[in-house]
Amino acid sequence: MSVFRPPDDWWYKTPVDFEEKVWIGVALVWCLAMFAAMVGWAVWAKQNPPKESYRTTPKEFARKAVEFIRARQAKDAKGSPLFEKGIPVVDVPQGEDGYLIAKAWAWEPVLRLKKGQPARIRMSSLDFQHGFSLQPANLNLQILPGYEYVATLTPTSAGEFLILCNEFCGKDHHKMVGKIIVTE
Amino acid sequence: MSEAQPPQEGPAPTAPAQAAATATSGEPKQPTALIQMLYDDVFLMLLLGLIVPLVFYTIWGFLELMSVPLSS
Amino acid sequence: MNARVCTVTGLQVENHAANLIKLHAVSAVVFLLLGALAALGIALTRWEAVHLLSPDWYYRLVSFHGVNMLVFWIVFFESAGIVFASTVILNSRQAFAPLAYLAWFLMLAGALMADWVMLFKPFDQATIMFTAYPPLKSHPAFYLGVILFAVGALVNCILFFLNVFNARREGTHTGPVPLFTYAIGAAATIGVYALLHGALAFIPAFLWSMGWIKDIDPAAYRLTFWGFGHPAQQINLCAMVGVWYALSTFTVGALPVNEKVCRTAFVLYVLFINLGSVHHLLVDPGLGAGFKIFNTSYAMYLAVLASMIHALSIPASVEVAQRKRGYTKGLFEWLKQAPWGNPCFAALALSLVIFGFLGGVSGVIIGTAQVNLQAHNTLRIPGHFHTTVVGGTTLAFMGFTYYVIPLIFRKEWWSPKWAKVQPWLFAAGIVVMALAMSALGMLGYSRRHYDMSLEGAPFQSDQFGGVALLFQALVGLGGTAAVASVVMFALNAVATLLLGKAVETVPSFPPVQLPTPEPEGAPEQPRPKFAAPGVFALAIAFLVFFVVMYAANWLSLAKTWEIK
Repeated sequence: MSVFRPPDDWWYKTPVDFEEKVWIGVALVWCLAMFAAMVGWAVWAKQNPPKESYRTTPKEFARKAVEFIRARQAKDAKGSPLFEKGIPVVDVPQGEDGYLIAKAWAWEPVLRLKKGQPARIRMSSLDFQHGFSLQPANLNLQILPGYEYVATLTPTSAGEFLILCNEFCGKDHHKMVGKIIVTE
Repeated sequence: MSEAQPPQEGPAPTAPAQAAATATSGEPKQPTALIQMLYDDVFLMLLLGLIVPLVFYTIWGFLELMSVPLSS
Repeated sequence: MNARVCTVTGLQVENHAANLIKLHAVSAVVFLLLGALAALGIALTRWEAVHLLSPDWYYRLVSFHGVNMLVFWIVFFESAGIVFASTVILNSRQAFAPLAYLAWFLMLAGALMADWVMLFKPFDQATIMFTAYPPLKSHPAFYLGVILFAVGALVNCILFFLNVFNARREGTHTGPVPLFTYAIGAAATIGVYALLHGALAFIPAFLWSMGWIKDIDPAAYRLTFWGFGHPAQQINLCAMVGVWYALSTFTVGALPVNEKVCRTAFVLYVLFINLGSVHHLLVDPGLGAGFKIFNTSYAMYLAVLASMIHALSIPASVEVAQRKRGYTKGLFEWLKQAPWGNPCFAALALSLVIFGFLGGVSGVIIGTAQVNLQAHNTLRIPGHFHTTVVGGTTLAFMGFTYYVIPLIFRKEWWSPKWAKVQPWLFAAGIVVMALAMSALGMLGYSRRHYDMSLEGAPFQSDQFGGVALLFQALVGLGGTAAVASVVMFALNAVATLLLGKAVETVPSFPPVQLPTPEPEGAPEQPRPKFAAPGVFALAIAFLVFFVVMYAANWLSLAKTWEIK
């Protein structure tokens, strides 16, 4: 009875070896444990894929995002609007939604968050699919045009964090880099 | 390491003989368990293999996407 | 029927079946070689000290490599397997032969069309990656080429079932199909599911590229595309497992330890493994947590249970066969005395270990709904799938080819020496490259990315550290070694077909060791509780490794920003 011949008549009645039974039992327990871990993590832990999404359009999202940037752009020491490499730096006040635009090939604005303070950020794309990749925190989300993805982020340390794009979006995909600043 | 040798099994039975060998012999036919039917029948496997993931992944997935609310 | 009798197995090899197997197998190796040459460029570009290609050519070849490997090479090879399993194994003929030839031709025409677009059309029309995510839009001939290929492949999958039906109708085969055919039947089932979803994704995309429909919803596309893309790789999994059973039969004369257990595992695959499509959507908008968690677990990991069943069954069957041959000393004499010089056995063992320890474990981990936050679109993803579809499936398929050419093409290998080295070189290259990719991904490296020094971007970072440069070099070197071994394989195969001596009665290489026949009508004698203690020990070691790796990833996730 090889794999190239039909099974013998009694194949269905052949008892399963002790060794196989033990392994299947152990493997099944492990499988159920992994499933329970995911469910438990979703209920009790602090890192989960965001669940809040909305339908939008690039035009509509851009309008709301630009409104947010204008209202919340930070000021430098002299009181003029703050930019980093030509990109507006914007504070996300507590309790208010922030916006992040993905477009070929930039992330706008540069968001400024506070360590330990949850910030709701609404993300969408104006053109192609993009990959939000926050480094070195290493959190990654898919950003689609026509969909608003709302992530509540709580930074665990202060400093400067980069947003890479990790979804291919054209010839300058590798130059699409943004920044999030976290203050103490 | 073994060198090339003639097949260890005898020459395989020709098709009709093989069919006879696999057909159940004189013993009384026992009722086939339902699950054994799935193992014996690749067509049943095809049917279930299409329906189950179509329901849990494709249809459920479309229902999820269709229920995404409009942005305020 | 017009057939010859195989001198090794005694099976009937019908003429059309043999022709079709040859057409598909040769096509497979051609596209494998094309994809491998592209891989050389990619590996030597991600090694940024070399940075061989320009950005445009890098992205263009990543597109080309993905489509040629994940679709053309592997589906052509599986089509050969589908013909083989539904004809030769069943002592039956290829039904509707003209349709089968047409299907092969459609696949070839479609592949050439898509390749032409990817290599020669302007960058923006040519380079949208294997995933082809709208709103990126390609030249219509790309979508059309893939659709033609898929139609041909779908016809082949359907012909599998028609062949089985026909064999029963003509009386050339009755009763349950052999385990190898059952495995390929599972593969063909998943193939039908995958290709139907491919149509759901690519036909609207084609119409959109022609301007006949206005918009494609990107989320709906992703849902249907991955209903094609991931199951397409699960076809590979089933076919690979079938090939593992076949290789263990031919190399050491193994018999399946328990048909019922093996078939149960295939049934679990067929029912649940396609749910894993959601792995690519775990951090997407628009889909709920329940949908993501249920599907990513393949229904409470029942399909993973299936893999773990095969992971024991196949090596156990090898150990039992070896112990029957007298290698009973200690836990591992059977393994030490296994025919390592037989490239088919080496491919079997290496692909089993690579797929199991590296591929399966990493896949479950990065497919965990929340851990995916740390893995999505990083270099860990290609790091993972190069251990499964390359170190696992492709290596197993190459191993199988070492038997297919003498048994079906009836040619003696031109260089047995090269054949013996090739699987080892391939395995070493792929493992080094894939582990380095995974390490880079864990540091935060993106996949499909030309320049991680971020030159020309508004911001740069030194967060990746000097160790990343070392890993980049390993990607380049490992990839180069793997490509070299593919070229060895392809050259050997071509030289064999063109210059190889005809097989006289039985091929002289690789050695074949068929199972000794069980006495007719005898139920098996009582077996010891642990018929394969060596494999059981290895399985426990594997489980411990799995648990540790899995837990480590949760710990890493817990340390980063909170997100919900």
